[in-house]
Amino acid sequence: MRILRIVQARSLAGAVLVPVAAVVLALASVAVLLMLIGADPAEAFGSMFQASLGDPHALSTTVTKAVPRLVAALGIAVAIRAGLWNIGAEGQIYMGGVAATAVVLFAPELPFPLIPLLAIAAAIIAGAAWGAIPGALRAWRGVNEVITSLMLVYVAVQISRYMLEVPWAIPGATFPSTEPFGSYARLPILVPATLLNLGAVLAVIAAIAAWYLVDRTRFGLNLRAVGGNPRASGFLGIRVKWMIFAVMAISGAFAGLAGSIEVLGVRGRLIEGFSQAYGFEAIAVALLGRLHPAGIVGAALLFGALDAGGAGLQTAARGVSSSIVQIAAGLSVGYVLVGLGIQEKFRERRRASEALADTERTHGVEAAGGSSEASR
Amino acid sequence: MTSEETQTARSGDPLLAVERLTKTYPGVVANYEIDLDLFAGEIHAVLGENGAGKTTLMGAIYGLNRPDSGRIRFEGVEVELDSPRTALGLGIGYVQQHFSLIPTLTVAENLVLSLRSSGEKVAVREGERRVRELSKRYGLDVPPDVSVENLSVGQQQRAEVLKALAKDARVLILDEPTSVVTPQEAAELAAVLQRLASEGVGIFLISHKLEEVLRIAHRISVLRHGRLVGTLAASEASQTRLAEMMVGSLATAADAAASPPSAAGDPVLVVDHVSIPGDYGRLGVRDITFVARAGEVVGVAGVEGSGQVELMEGLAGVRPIASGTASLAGELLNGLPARERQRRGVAHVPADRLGTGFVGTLSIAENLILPLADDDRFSRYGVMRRQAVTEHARSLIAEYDIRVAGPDVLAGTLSGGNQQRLVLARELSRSPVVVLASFATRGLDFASTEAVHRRILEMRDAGACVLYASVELDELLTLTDRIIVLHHGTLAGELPTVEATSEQLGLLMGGSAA
Amino acid sequence: MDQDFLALLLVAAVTLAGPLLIAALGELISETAGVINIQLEGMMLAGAFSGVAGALLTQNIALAFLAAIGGGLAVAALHGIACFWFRANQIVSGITLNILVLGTTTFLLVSAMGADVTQSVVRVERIAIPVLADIPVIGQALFNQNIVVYLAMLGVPLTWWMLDRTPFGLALRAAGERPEAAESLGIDVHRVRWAALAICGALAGIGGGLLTLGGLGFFTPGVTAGRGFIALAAVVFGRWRPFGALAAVLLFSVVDAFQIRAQTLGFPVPYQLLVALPYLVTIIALAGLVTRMRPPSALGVNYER
Repeated sequence: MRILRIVQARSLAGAVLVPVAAVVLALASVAVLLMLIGADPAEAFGSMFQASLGDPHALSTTVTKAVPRLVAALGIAVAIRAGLWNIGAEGQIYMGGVAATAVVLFAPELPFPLIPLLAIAAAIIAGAAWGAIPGALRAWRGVNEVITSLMLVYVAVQISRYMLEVPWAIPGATFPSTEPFGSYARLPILVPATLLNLGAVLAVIAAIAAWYLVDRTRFGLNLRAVGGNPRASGFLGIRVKWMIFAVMAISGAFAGLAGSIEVLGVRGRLIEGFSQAYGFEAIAVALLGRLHPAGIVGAALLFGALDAGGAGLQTAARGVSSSIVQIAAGLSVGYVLVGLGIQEKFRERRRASEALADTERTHGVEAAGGSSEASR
Repeated sequence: MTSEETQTARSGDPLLAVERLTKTYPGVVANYEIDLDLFAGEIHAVLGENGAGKTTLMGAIYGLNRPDSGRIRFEGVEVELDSPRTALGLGIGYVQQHFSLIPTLTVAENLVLSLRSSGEKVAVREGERRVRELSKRYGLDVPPDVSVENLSVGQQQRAEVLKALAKDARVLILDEPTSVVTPQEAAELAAVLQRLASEGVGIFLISHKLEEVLRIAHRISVLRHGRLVGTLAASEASQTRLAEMMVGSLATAADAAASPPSAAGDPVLVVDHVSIPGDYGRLGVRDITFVARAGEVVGVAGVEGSGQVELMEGLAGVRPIASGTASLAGELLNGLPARERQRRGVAHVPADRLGTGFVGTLSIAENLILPLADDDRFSRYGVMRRQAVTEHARSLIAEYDIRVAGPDVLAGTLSGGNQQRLVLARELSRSPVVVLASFATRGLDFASTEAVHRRILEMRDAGACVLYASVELDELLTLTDRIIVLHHGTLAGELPTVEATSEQLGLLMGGSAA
Repeated sequence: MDQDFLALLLVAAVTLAGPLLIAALGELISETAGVINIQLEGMMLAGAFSGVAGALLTQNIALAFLAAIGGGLAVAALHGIACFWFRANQIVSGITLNILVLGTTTFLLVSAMGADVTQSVVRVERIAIPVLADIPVIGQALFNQNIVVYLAMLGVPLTWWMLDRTPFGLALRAAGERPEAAESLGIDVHRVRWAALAICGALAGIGGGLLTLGGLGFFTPGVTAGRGFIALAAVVFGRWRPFGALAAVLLFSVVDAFQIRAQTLGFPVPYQLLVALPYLVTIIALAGLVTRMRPPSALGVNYER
């Protein structure tokens, strides 16, 4: 009983303490980097703070930048819980964006919620299909999903480019993009004079859905079983191959949703490179959030703030903002890995010395028992 | 204490001495203040239950783990055995229970690696010559240029022994060497050990078989719960005395044996010319035919790798049946998925408990209902009924005596015995028609072994048909009503347990006609 | 005309194959010892970046490649520290390092250059081997290459010999197949795995350097564009054998060279789909592997003493 509580308490501390410490360290490392390029870190963080949390508009920028990373990370976390590595969320985001755009461009103008609903549904299906391919290959052909899901990113990006440069091309435009969508097709802004759109609400719903699916449903139980021990799951009668396929499709569906939110809510049109490696950073978001939806929300907001804040850097050249997010993402997950390793070693050492203390305490007692036994 | 008496039995300094050695792992003290010594030319048996700390102790002598405290002296000089390289350099060889050979390399390549790490640079061609030479010298027949994974278990063990001897071993450690081979192969090995001892090699023999230890050892040390209970000369020891030292008391040891033969009922499981694939494209089971009836325990004997596991897995639905038919109560099992067979009353206690028995990252409660997750009792409209799941777990934890804080504990944190109780609770509580159990007592202590045997007999008495695979002949001879013997995946023989002897079973397991 | 097309195609294919092949051999060696490097892409990217940076700083091609090796080794070191010291999952570590390297190289480039592309000042030159270079069709492709590509070609039989015939190769295979048993045989599994990882980092660094110092001549963020992952796939498709990896790399490179040629020749297929072709071929190749794949048993599994 005692040990149980300690283990649970420890893991709770580990779930919050280690990631928070890791994030602090990562931000400190970023400050050092900024100093190296001649920026005053205090000033830099000041302007980053202003641009990310300083006023309602800045705050809404942070949330808006967090949303695609959050939604894609939910899908990635669901896959990891099942022991699967969906590295290709970036491609699934692109397929979602393309599918949503296709609905908007081909469907007639309909009263408000209909077009976004249809577009989101199409995006979810497209993302699911793009995730299901590596899922099927893994399940029935034994092909490692890490490589295939990633290869499909490059294919999806090219499909998106093709659509923008051939069938949907605007003659004479300098940058590949569609015309802006009509307001009937867009996710409405929730708070006037900010960027906050309905996508944020959809993201919260997605987070709750992901938690419920994994922790409360029969499907989630089977999913966690497959993730914990696929061989035993097969012995217990779970259809492991089908689960692998289904989980990868669901994982892709989340990324597809993320793509449609970005296109319908933020950009208001399909534009080349609309996902700036969101799908890759989402992997770090999922890991930093320790695969739990609540943690993922926190991690996504952090990366959203860094992205929004990076754009506020005075010294910033083109591309610095997103590279700072990537560095912070990589470092914080890296520090989490190190922190968990240290925590585990400490725990093992403590349990060993506890056991030794127990033995030493009972040694006298049993030695007495032993001698009486020998004298019998 | 008895250890003093035996000191006089030998003159001179010990070849190897362990002094006050302590080794802890997270949550368990594997060795506590152990003193043990070994003289040149002696066979010193180390006896103890599973989990008593024998393998950890030998690991320390071989440099596989580093003790927390204590000393090891070799020829009177304190040595720091920080890796197997040091041990190999001193002439300490170790034949492990789970062989330390690389399966994808040939015997000679394995030998070359081992020799190089003790400083002797040898080419593969030279390694092959050495294997042949050693084979001849000790009469241990091993092909040098065949990949280890293509050797039989007996051949692998001989290769392992050769590897240990190649460095002119002064000390040889063998961990449960006879538990995986036929009685005849075990006897051959014993002869080799006696010859080595007469040539001056000191031998530590780990075992849990009292009779074997008394036959070939000169001295016997007994470990219990990580501590040395005592060391006896073989001449002073008896089976009863040793058993008492191992377990602490003999109150429970006699119970399991006596089980009245049951009256077998109707045929339940009919296996007709069945073949089942093994791993890496080979056939694991070839053309096997037998019938098992309600209310009987049918033992499945064989050396490791003879097809027992494949047979059970094929019947349980986790391996395909390549040809032939298997039927349960008249209905064909071929092609049915595992879950459907579970519904029809097939229970499976798999051979690899940790690998396939349960999901360590899920709670005990979740593990207990995994095969029943789509039952209305435990889920509705795809949503788990958590209350019911917990209640179910509470009652099974009590009924099967799983020693644990509560139903939410992760299954992976349980001890081996409790893990097996969890598996039994999950499988047997579904009132199965057929129970398929493989190596169900492997790695368990006496109490847990007892519990498994009791449950198996309960199932039989309740009218279930039990298939029980084991490599331990003593276990099969006491627990079963009938025994079928497998050899290389084929049925080598079938006989009622009352007429069977271990010699006879051993011959069948080794492929000779009875 | 047809022969010209083929010759040019082969020249382009071998040029494209060089970086992939070197990285794939490194990964093959590492995987044989049981260490998987999802960050192979990151190692190549680090090599590509530090190679160009080294060239800019030293104006010396040999030192530039040394810098490329350093870049790959640095990523390998981080992977080893995370996995071997702190027991991190190898796949998690690899994914994380990819993100970190992408961010770091971009950051350094943009903050140092203020631009997101930089030309290399020195390039590794082609050396034509007399007579052989004049063989029709294959001459230019195989015998008018730079020194690094020649070394990569030699690396294939060398790797085969090393893995199959030398005690070090046996030790690598032992560490990747059954590390516990290897330790019992007296092999220092940690040292062997560190060595394999370092070799992989160095080779992937050279591969990345070859990309920017040989073929492209410039660095831009994410310049490796998934080549590290294709090299990873080549090891699988080549079934963990050096000549298999070579065949896989050549297949991808020929397809890649073909799509580039096809674009310039104006094939009636949208170029975007041609660009996607090598990635699609990789997927199809992996999916179509008929024979049973058998990776090293302990691949990706950390070993604890």
